[in-house]
Amino acid sequence: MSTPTSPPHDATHVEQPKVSSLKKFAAGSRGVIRAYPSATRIVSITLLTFLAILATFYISDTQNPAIGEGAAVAVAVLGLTWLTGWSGQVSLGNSGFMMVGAYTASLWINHHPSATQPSSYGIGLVLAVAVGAVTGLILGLPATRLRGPYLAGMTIAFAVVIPSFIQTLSFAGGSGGLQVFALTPPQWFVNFFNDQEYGYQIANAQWPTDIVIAIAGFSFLIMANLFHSKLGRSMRMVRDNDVAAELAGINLPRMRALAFVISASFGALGGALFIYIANTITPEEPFQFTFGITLLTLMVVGGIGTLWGAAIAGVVFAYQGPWIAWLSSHVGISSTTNLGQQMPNILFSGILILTMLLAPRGIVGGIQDLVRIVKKLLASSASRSETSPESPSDNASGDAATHSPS
Amino acid sequence: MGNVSFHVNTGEIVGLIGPNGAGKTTAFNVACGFVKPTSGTVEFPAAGLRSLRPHQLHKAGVARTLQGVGLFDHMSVLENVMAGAQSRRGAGILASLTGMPSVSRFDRRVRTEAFEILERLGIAQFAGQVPSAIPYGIAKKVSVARALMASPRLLLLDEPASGLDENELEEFSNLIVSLKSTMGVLLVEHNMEFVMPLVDRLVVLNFGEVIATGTPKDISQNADVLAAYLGVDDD
Repeated sequence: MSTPTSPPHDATHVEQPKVSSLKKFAAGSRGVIRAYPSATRIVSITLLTFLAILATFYISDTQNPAIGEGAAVAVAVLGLTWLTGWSGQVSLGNSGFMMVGAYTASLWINHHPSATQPSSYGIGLVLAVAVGAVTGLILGLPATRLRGPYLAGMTIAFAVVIPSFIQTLSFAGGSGGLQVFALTPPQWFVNFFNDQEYGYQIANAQWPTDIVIAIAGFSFLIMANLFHSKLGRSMRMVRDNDVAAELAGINLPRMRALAFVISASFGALGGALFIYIANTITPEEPFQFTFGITLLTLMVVGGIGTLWGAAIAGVVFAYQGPWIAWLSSHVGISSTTNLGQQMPNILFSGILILTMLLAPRGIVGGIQDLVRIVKKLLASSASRSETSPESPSDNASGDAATHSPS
Repeated sequence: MGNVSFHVNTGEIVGLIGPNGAGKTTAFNVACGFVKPTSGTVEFPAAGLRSLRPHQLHKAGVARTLQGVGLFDHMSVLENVMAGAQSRRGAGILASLTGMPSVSRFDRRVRTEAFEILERLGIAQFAGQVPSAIPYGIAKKVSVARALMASPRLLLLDEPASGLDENELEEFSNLIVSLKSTMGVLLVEHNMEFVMPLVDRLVVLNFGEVIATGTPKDISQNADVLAAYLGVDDD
């Protein structure tokens, strides 16, 4: 047997006769990414998280809470994209997991003696994730026997039942819900920024947003690790061909239940983070059943099964307010009218329809398609310019290994 | 099905044949644990195990390919082969969550091994492509490559010849013979021209019962088998 060459990570490994400095740099970067995948993920996600936090310093105080809520929703969409995009199980009820997480964290903070201490908020998040995981397991066990519309129906029932159930719990505030103390920045943070020469005054609204973005960034890192792990591959196998997956040694019921547990954990974390910004939760708002549909819409719009898709979903959610205001003013609908109040639903429905028609793989898929088209155009123009009458045999580069997956 | 009893030894190729509806696929599914027998057992004496469920087959060193190709559509050829190693003990869930180096090490090891198998089968140049972009014959080899990743002692091939042209049949036949030295092979197949020169022993099913076992030469002269296949009367 011949000594194996290094296996390719994708189908785009192409030997080029003339390599520009830029291409050398790109090839070198790809080499580093392949050699240190975990470190690359840590560095890139940390950098993006830092940039997102930095952006909050330049965004208006009124918009900052919406950015925080967008980051929290991105975490919940991440959970949904794991369940639907990676394990192939449809869920319309992930708003229920968000509600479970939000109530768990709120109850802890409200009933804990040192409620205003930052540690309480941290413990609240941990408890939210734990209770969310248990809820996911409870829902995931029967889900192992259901498929397609039956599974979707079960998740809808879950999202409908959870608010009604919580409404009956007096210690959870009944229909009045719960209030959560706003996260306030520590004094050292305020002093650090307010003592600067340029006289920046940090607003209270920015601190919780920054905290939520940081935790969301950490969640993205965890999910990125999962995507690239053996567990992530198992999920994709179950999604693509469950019989073949089972023959490869995967316990299907266990894997499907685990997908729910992980999805519910992220959903609950997203719900708890959301409440750290919104500070109020009731069985009616904000995680009513229709919020589950919104999560699904956001996932589809961003791009199912991708980290970037979840991040884009968060941005779309964060900026829905200004977009709705812009749209309403242009079509002459007052926000006080019934129609005006339904604008978020109209906007998301419209975006969903347009996405399905124009870019079924979401914004991420659309961008990938666009990049592929541009690359093809560049490659074809380059090959035309390189092919001259003196060197007619230079175009024999189209071997099978260089074809991109369709 | 009833009165079905046969065995496969390491180092031999056994063909499970029979007319349409004879129960070949059912017998295969019983052996793999997809169908639970109402009586009797499926034993894996080399591993000291019996009556396993499909996801436990790897414990007995059994791997199976599916009718058609049964590949994972959204994974590359290389990833499809790597999928054959999913039953191996890798990094734990905590290591996966935190992206510990052990996760990358496991992935690299499996990736290299999968590529070696693709090279051995002469299809390494398709490693980066998705199943929908490769010829059917290559996809069949990929499904065998995935099964080989589990280092099986018994390989079950479900209609390996279907959809292959003459050249591909010859290649596939050579491939199966080359595997014989390290494992037993049990295959279900309709194509008699493919099966007869390939196998060491045949088990013939009809109406859910074993009607004959023996070498291809014996079976080709067996009156019951001829009757079952051709509708020829015993007289």
